[in-house]
Amino acid sequence: MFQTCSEPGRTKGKAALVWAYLAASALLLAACGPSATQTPSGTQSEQPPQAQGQPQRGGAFRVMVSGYVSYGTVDAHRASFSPPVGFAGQSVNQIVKRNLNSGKYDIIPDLAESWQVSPDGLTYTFKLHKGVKFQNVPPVNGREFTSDDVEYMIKRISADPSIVLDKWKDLFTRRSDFTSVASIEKPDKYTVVVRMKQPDAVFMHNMATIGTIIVPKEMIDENPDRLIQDKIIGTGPFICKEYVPDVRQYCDRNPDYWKKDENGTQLPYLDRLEKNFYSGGDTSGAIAAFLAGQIEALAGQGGGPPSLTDADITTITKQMGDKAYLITSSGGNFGHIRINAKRPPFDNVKMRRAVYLAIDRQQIIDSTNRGGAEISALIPPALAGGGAQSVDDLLKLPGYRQPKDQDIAEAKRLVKEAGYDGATIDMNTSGSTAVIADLAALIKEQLGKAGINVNVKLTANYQDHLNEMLADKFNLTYTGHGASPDPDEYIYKHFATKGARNYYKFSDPKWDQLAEKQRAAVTDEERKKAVQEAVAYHAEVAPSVPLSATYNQFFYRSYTHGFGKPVQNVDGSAYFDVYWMDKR
Amino acid sequence: MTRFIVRRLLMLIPVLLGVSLLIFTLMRVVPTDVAAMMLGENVSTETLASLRKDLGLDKPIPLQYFEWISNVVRGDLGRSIWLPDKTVTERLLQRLPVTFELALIATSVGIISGISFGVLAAVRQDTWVDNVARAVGIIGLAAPSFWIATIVILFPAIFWGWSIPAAYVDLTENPGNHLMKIVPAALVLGFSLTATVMRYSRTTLLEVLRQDYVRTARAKGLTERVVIYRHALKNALIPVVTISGQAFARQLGGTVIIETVFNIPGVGLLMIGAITARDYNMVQGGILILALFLAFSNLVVDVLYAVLDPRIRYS
Repeated sequence: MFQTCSEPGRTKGKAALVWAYLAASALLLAACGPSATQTPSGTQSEQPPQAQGQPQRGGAFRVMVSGYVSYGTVDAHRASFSPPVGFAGQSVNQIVKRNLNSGKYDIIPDLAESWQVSPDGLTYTFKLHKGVKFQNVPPVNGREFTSDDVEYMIKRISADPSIVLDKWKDLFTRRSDFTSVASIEKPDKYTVVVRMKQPDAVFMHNMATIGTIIVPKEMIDENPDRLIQDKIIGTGPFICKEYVPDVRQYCDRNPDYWKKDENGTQLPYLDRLEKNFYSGGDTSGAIAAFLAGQIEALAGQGGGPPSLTDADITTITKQMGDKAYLITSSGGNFGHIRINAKRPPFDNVKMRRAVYLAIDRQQIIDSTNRGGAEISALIPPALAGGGAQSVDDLLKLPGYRQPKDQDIAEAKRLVKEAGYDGATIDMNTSGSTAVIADLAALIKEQLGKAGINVNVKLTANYQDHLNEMLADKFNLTYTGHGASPDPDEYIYKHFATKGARNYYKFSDPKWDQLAEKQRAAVTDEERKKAVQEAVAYHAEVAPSVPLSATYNQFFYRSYTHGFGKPVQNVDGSAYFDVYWMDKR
Repeated sequence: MTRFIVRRLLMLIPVLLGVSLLIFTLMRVVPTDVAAMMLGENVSTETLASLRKDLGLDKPIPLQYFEWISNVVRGDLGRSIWLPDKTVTERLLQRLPVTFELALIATSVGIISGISFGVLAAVRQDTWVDNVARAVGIIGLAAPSFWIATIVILFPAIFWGWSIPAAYVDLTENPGNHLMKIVPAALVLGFSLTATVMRYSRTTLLEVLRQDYVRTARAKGLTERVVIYRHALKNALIPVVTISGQAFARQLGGTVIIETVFNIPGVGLLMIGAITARDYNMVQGGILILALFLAFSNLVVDVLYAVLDPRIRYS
């Protein structure tokens, strides 16, 4: 099933693998290269093995989840990144969610049976499933889910003072997500009507974001701080009975779960979920557990920090043979060069454009991502349905096309015209990992070819780097962040004058107009067109240099089935209800 | 002796104050704003300032220290900045037993196996047994514990498809799985102590075996077993007791790395997470408690010297 670079003899081969892993992973990498990471955007490089027969009930699905779990919030309403979602994902539902199986991240119903948007884009009407009950756990004790719970969720995410204590409101970093909501009406228990102040194309994205989960008010009120801390109750497929931060979370099948599969069989199929956290930042325990059959899934590259190295993936691939499969999808982490458009020399558009043209993205991917990524424009290619360009289209464009001679010549000309030929410019970036340090060195080399001398200044950690950006103390910097399935993240939040993440200090009236236009678009077609306009204009004014979108990779044991594309973390999606195993 | 103990206990006060000042200062000089970490990228300057005020980080650092130490003196180590639902003391009490168990097993294994191998190597000097023991001793001293730990974790998985349990469980919940998780970690943690004790035991025993009284004992026709165990070993082990007395404290420090690699939820792992997250109260409280235990264990060792060796008298 796996591609391998060689087939060593059994015992000798194993010893070689161990020693290569421990002592000479770099050599191994050079010899083997990535084995299963070459994948076109949005497609799986390895398909799960075809299961024989119908999905089967039963079994305990065990995973190891990385990260300092106890030192991130588990309150998904506060932030939509991995730890809270991993904590809550299996126990809750959303009103609508992203379809991770389609490869297009389209929005599909979950607790909503259907929804309608008025032609003017000002009214959203959600029809909810009837008879859905919360888990039969105190204090909610299996009460029915109703439209009140939807209103409560939107208000809590918005840090409404009637729900969130004043002292914690700053922690609700998503509180501006629903500022365009004018009112929420509940004509009956199963209908929610959301009226908007103005059309907001991002509203449905915010509803479908994985942190937008339905939790009962009673659970929140139970805690004097009104924060989600170590208990999660929802309408989801699993009831979590034990949570020990940094150690484990055990969840059992919800016998009253409301969803059924296409054959009318009640979901979920699995009896139990066991999540063991490896919190120390060392992956060897997780690799050993997967090899020894103690867990069913293992996050690979892009699966949340710390991810596996290429050498780890090669080792696991060879050891497991057909006992495991690897699923790869694009869009894990979006890497780009941020340019400070306010300070000289990059207040000059010619200089920004020169950097945009001179950078050889493929070389960066080959050197630092070792094939575990694909080139990206402003919006990662995996989101091509939302107006992004595909990899094939990008390769025809200036800045992306190969060979680089033409672009470098053009970049040199622009640098000369701008009057900065031979000037030295500081590049401030995080030195938190060797990969970023290597990448900075490569950028220095590439820009040198265009006549831009770069002086690399590394900070000790990412936070210092972030502080420098917040304090406007940078000219050029490399940054990677989680890819969002909605274009607004890349267009408005990062580059609009009022954008919350506009570290670039970029301010351009035409851009602001385009950013507002895509937000105000009512139909999908209108929005796609507006996004494409913005993407094209971004290449002209170059407030940043998009580089790559990394692949997400996850190993699964061959007796496990039902997995979609890994997007956040191995347990990050709320899709556990359809996972099943032929071995228990 | 009582006066000595009282004096040592009183001396703990400036020591702990010094530790508290040091760790407080270190945490404040480390770059990175915990408020910025909590709020992430998507944050305005006003929001950041507001959270800093809520957390008391806007006050002058000397005042922050004074407020914190005043509470500590009253027995209140404060609350975790990130997880305010539990006090620092509660979270430490949850984790301390795990760390103590690990350090205690590592120390016991290190001392017992170190002395055993040391004696064996000495009585079989220059045989293959001695050579192997010395070679293992050198590895134990030279190889970093995280590297040995990685081998211990990965080797069985790659060669035999077996691994140390992925999940940590309490002793009361599943003694078998608990021990399978803790014992390999303790063996790795105690490996360097084994090597140290082995080398000391071997060297001192060889010295003692060359003493006149040992020769006399042999001349009297005593068996080699009696000569070694009844006459030589007791004297040979005095320096070993010194090392062993400090061993527990050393092992406590070593748990940070071992807990991280083996994923054992003790104080070490808690501290790593807290330092990474700049959870000031948790780090300050944790280090202070560990310092307290270290100071006490040193005191206990000093008292034990007097008990074990009648020539030592404290005044």
